[in-house]
Amino acid sequence: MRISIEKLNKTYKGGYKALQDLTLEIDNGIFGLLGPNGAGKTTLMRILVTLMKPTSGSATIDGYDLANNRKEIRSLIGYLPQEFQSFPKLKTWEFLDYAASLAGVRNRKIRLNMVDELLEQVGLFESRDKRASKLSGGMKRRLGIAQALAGPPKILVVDEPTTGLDPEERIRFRNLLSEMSEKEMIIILSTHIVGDISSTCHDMALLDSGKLVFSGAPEKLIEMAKGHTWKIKAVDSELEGIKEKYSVISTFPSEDGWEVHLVADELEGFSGEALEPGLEHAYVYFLEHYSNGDKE
Amino acid sequence: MNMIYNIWIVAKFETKTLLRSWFFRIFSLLAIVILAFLGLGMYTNLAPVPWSFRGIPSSIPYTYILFLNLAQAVIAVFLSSDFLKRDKKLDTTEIVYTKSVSNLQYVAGKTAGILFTFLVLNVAVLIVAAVYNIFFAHSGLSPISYILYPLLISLPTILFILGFAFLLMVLVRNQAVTFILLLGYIAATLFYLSSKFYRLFDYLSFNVPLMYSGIIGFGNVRQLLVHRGIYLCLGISFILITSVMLKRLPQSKLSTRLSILFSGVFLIFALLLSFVHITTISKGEKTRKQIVNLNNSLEEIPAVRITECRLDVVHRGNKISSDAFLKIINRSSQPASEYIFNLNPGLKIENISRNSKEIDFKRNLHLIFITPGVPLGPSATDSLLIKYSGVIDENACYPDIDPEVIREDYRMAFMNIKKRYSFIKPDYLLLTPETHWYPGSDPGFSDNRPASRSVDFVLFDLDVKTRPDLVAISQGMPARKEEGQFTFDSETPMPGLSLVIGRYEKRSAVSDSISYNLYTIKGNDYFSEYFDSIKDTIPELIREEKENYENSLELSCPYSRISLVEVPIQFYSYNRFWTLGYETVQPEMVLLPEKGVNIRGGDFRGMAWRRKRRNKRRNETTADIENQVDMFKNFVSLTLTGDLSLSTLRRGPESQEISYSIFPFYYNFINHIESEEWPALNIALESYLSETLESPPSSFLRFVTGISDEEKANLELSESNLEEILKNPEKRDITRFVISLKGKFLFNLLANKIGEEKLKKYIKDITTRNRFRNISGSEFVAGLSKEFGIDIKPYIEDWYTSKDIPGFVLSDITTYKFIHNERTRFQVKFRITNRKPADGMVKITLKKRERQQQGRRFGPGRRRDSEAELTAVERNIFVKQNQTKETGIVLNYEPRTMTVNTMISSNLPSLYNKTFQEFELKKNVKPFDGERVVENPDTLPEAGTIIVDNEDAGFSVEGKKQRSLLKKMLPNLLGGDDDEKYSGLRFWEKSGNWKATINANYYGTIIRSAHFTSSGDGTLKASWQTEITENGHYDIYCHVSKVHSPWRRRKKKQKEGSYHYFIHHDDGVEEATVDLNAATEGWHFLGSYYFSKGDAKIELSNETEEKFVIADAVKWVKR
Repeated sequence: MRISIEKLNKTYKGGYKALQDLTLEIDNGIFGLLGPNGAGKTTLMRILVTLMKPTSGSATIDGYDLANNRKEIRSLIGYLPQEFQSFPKLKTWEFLDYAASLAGVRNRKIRLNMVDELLEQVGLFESRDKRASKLSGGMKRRLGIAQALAGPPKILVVDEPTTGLDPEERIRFRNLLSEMSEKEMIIILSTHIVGDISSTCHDMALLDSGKLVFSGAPEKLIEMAKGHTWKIKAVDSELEGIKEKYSVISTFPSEDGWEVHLVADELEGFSGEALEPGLEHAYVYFLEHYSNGDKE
Repeated sequence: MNMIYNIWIVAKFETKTLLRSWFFRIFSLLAIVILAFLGLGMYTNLAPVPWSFRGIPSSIPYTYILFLNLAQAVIAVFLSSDFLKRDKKLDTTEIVYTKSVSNLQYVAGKTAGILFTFLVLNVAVLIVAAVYNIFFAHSGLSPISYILYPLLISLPTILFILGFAFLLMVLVRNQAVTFILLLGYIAATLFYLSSKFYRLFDYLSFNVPLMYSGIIGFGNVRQLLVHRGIYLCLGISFILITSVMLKRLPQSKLSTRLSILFSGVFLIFALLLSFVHITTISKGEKTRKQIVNLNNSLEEIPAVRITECRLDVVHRGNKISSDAFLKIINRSSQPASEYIFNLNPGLKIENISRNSKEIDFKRNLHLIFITPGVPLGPSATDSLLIKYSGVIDENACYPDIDPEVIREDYRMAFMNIKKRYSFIKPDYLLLTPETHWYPGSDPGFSDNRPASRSVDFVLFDLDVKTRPDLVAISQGMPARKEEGQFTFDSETPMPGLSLVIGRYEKRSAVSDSISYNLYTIKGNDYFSEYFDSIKDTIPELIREEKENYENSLELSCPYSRISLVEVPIQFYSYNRFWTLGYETVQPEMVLLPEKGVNIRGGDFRGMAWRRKRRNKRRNETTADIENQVDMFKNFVSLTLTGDLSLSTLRRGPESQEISYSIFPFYYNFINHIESEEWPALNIALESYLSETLESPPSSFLRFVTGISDEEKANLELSESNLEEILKNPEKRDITRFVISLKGKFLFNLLANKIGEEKLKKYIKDITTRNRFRNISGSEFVAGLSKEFGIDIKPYIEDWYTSKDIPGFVLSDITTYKFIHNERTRFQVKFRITNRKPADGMVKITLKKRERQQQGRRFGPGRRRDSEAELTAVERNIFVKQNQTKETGIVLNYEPRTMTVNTMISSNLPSLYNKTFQEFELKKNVKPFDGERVVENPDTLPEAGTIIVDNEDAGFSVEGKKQRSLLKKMLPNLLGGDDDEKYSGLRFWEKSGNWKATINANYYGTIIRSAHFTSSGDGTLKASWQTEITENGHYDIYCHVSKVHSPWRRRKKKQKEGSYHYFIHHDDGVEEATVDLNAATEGWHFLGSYYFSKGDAKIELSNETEEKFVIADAVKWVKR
């Protein structure tokens, strides 16, 4: 299973360019789409799930052309939109039954078994007879992922799935995705939460202003930030100056004042020690770096 | 398969969602509860709802689905626009949009879901209907109609409105705007468009004839399939377009192309069906027009007439084939080189032969032109055999009837019925002379002779072959040779022959050697249970009723058998210019509607219910026999021997009531006056002879219609003479009233000249002598002149050509009682002045009140059945132009009311009713019974008195003529016509401006009218202006007429309001209030004021506590 994207462009009415010459290859496993708000993540995903037409460029999914083989592509896709609500009049199991039916599971017995398995998988079995409108935010998200998994799909596209979830729900969700990734499928996870990517994705792309600024393994991105992440000690009077001068990742109070983690090519006027970068540091460094025009 | 599966899945979950929607649940519950309550009122014993609401079993599902359809159309709009609104919450719907379901499958699934939801509702409502049908209505069950109505009414309606709503929603993309647009469309179609353009826009099928007869089914299956097919196709087309325009990327280009293609195909199919629908109806109009044009082209009435006709008819499937052996005679004084016969154009002639030798003929529409070879000499006879077969083209029936009248709905309660004039089906057949199912010599209606037809009295013999399980009914001595073979041998010549075949069962009673038969369709006996106690008495009752009827007519019936035959509800008949009879009444036969619905006396259950309630109210008990005898008499009097008049003041506005009066048995089917010179003479005599059958007009209907048809006819006669009206096709709507009125006038005039008894004796003698023969007009008139020594011809000439009509003023009505020969006698005296330059006549009817039972009459305010007004004296008074006559009538009993019918006159109203108060005892008075010419005309205003009536030039009103939007939209429903000069005082209507209305209580001489408007804030005024010629003090009066709606009588002690007059006098303007509680009818004193020479004015404002303000007349009286 492979998704090939070639010079994809999307320009909205009014001239806003959401995607610009995007070229990307996605293989089996969890693929993370990272980028700030407005980077074009959702647009890309909506194009991939056939909800939107690109302005130009092409994409193939498992060899099927996005423009001409929507029927085949749709039969491969499971999609969880950003603001999933379900249908309030349907019970949890009914909604999954509907999703599974639409995904082509015709045999009622198999379908109902599948529904129960999905409900178990997402921890909603106890709530199977509850109306969707009665579920909590986390439960709704889980129901969303369950419906996206109904079929099951060959490609799972999830848009900002962990936004608004508490840490426990988020961990549960990440684990669920990890479990799914063991099957022969592509999972595209769009997020602006770096932790989601670092803990689950084997491959990723970084988008900014509709352009692809990085694609590869998260480790590669981290590697690129090595030697550019610092830890410095500062007193109260220095803190404001540091924040103005550098991209501060985090600030911790210490005995003498503050411990500040930041990204910078080199430190000027401050003494500090090099810090082992994480994906978050790499993401900030990369965006900083890129925004300075020093594209990789 | 995949497609169906996907549609099914989307539909299934849409249905689930909708069924759980509270909006839908509440709506459904409300619909079921309201319809269940409606059923309680309409189909149980709780209320006296007419039998016509439920008599035919399909009525109940029809009514229920019709009502539900109105509501579900609106709800479907909500639901459909809601679905698209839900779909706009993209994040939720997108999960469905990313599934492998095509746009068409998705939209179709949604549609199917909504349809299925409504199917559930339809089933629930039909279960309620079935409960009433089975357990309460006592009218039988028509299971098929429970399937047909949802399919024909609900399905196309919902599919169309869903498709339309989807389409609008994807175009407009705003639920509120879409909803407003759709509701507007629904309102426009329901209230305006649905009855226009051949009912093409009636997607709700509110005006589509959908009554399902238990005998022949719909009777218009093709029309229904075409009409409903239009909306079905449009709905599918719109749904397909919606799937193309849906804001979702299509699954494949092929599916999009196919959707566009099929959307176009269905749209074209809908347009084609619309075209078929319109052309089918317009074809009928075209055919009728062609027939009339062809008849117009015939220079004179065909000379060759039929004397004998033997018909061998075979009824097979949807066709008949027939051999007609005709004996013909040349009635003219010239040799006939061409025979012309009339045969329905749907019947194809195979050949025409004489003495087994085929002869040439030509066919043009309904007419057959035969060239006999050798011309037929005067009075010579010939015989022909015409073989023909085919169907009846009903477009050839009733060519005389205005297309608009033909197009009018035939309604029974909320149900619409297809008008049919004949039926040929495998298990049923009905053919009447109007269909021209056998050759006749009368070519039919022609604009040249609208008031007459040529009639042949023919000896018919009929042989019929049909299916063995069917029974044939016709005129003549019947015999059944074997199963499915019948013969009918004529006993008397008849003007027409009818044939009815069906699954009939027969009940008979013999009285005075006359056989009375009742033929009803098997299973349609709804009446026996109401007459179980008087089975043996029925022959005697029939004899009694017949005798009474014949005594009142002073005529007798020649038939040895009379049959009442049940026919499908769709069988319709119109009134004609040349006769008062309807096609429903044939020689020896009355064709009654299915299960007795839609006839006045057929609601036995209602009658029994009312009787029971009355007894309970009065704490009385009556024996079953007595009740049943009353019911039987009611049936006879209301249905068969009742009123034959056409007036809307007797039968209701826009009355579609078909007459079943057997009066034609006594005149139309026995005698006929044929006259080229005076074609209306026959209908004139018919109107005169049937005059005694007329019931008095309803005061209730006066309030509704404002002006009667007779009055409209009089207004017409004041502008054109009879000859001109007859020749003017534009006047057809009023022609029949003109002819009827003129007919009665002519013979009453003759009766006045030569004496009523003498005239009636003459008529009786000449009609008896000429039974079953045409009487020539000149023979009739010459005989009359000879018998009584008066030249009648000038009267008839004048009757035809005179344009002037009289105008009467009734004055000096005095009443008192006196003792004469130790007996109390009652004197009524009055003067009648004819103020116009044309002689005229008034008919005076004095009535006494007597305890007697009387049938129910239309509208509220009907008289109680304990007392009735019986005619005591009737007198015609002939008053020459500009002549005053004093009339005195002496009676042995106290009269209660006096009715003055001015017949043909410029009087409005043309009929006055005067109720007498207590008769004062007078001594030494000289009784006066008779009439005398007096020199002094009617009382004129005294010197120094100025009267300004609302008809005078000095009267004016403020405000322009306005028409409310509702009135514009619902002209038919609300009744009346604003374009008429005089309006009805309709209690339910608010009048925003002053309108003229007439009533005998208003001030006036020849025209008694007033203006009225609804109560208001006092800004709308009526004013009376005059010129004062002499300075001085004047007493001011206004004319008060207490004219209330008939409903007012029910509210006892209700306080009346006041009127506010403003008198403009020398010292300014003064308000004078008239307290209607204190005021009596007539002139009411407002005060004395000083007026100088010059203009003077009195105003009346529209401020009042009453519903209406009435501006009539005012007067200035010099002190």
